[in-house]
Amino acid sequence: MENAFEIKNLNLYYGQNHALKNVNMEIRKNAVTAFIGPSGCGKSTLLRCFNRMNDLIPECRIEGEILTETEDVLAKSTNVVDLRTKVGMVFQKPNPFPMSIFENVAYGLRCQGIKDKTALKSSVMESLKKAALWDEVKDRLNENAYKLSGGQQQRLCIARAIAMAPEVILMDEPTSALDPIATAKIEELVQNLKREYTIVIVTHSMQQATRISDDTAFFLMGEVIEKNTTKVLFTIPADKRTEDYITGRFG
Amino acid sequence: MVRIDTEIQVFKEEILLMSQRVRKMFVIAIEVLHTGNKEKALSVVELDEYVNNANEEINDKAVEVLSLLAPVASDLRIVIAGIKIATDLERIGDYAKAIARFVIKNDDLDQQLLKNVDTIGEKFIQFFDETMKAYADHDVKLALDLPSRDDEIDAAFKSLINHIEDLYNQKKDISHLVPTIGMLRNIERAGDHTKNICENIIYEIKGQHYDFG
Repeated sequence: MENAFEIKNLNLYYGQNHALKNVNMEIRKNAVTAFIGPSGCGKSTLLRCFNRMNDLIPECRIEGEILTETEDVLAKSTNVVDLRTKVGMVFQKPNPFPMSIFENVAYGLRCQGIKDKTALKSSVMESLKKAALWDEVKDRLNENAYKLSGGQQQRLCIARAIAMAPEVILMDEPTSALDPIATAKIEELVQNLKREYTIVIVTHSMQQATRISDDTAFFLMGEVIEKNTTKVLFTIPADKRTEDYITGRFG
Repeated sequence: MVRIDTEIQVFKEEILLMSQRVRKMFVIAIEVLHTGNKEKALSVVELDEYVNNANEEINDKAVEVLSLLAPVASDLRIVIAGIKIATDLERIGDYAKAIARFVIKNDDLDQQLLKNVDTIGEKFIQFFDETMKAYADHDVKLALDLPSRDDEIDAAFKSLINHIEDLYNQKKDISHLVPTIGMLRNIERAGDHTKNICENIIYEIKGQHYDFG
């Protein structure tokens, strides 16, 4: 299967609110897919479907399928803990745990029962290197993670996700709380990470979508209006609503 | 109106203004071929300075819009096509200037030969006017239809060449006609650049590359 996810006839309701309407989409493996659209259009809601984060919302009801190579993400039989190991997530605001830099990255591994110190050290180092943070923290691994800058904290969260050896990394506006320099580092990191991982990113920055994504999907009022390669969507969009949104004429 | 709408409108108006100056240059250049009025021919050379400046201003405006407003989709295509159209207009202006310079340097042009110029010149001006109309009106159908007009210009030019060849075959002295033919090729080249403008109008509207040869 060339796709990390195949979404089929997905409908999602928050109580009476029909938040995602008949979504059909494929997410390519080892590509960066950006979700764009105005606030409340359903892009973060769909992102949270990929690792069943919506399960935590009591009035949320989902119909349809999200197929991976091995399972239907939405099936009741799916082991959500295993799923979230395979599908990591990075949020808008960096959320390191109140512990050392080392322990932040090692936390998930310890939860998995890994106790061997050498294995833990090696895995933490590799994850921090992949998250382009190692050189900045290698001499202060035992310091509290809160001492890091916002951009470093966000890369630490990415390292924490990477440590679990996921197949997919979900990013929900990962740079909206960061300055341009920290944003550039995360964007460069995303470009490097896609060699090993599939990345789905929600962003409000159209320029960020054009800079880092291979594919882009435009959402409006719970519908996927258009999904195409980023190059085509931003040069010759097929739907006038997409054109109006990306050119800033929406509404 | 959002800011990019205003900027794009100004950008397109600058291109249309540039095209009017280029047209004026060409009309005068064809006229002075007949009248031999060197003073008027000189005015074409002077106008070329304005046209060159207009091309630079359009490029500067494009850089400003690209860097400050980061246009995408149709806005981006208008800017990219506009840069290319301005370059073609600048070249057409150069051809008009070359004709004017020829008039300044040469006296007693072959009037018999120049009769053909009216045909080629008229065809070119019509082609140019309709092309810029298609640009102003965003008329993709017209831009698709127009390039065949260039074939008419090419055919008229070819018939002129054939006429010269006939004279040569009749052992007549044509050496004095050769520079005039070289000069008239400027009109044929201007037609080619007008055809390029049609291609860019289509790209601007449809986002597709056309090559009319």
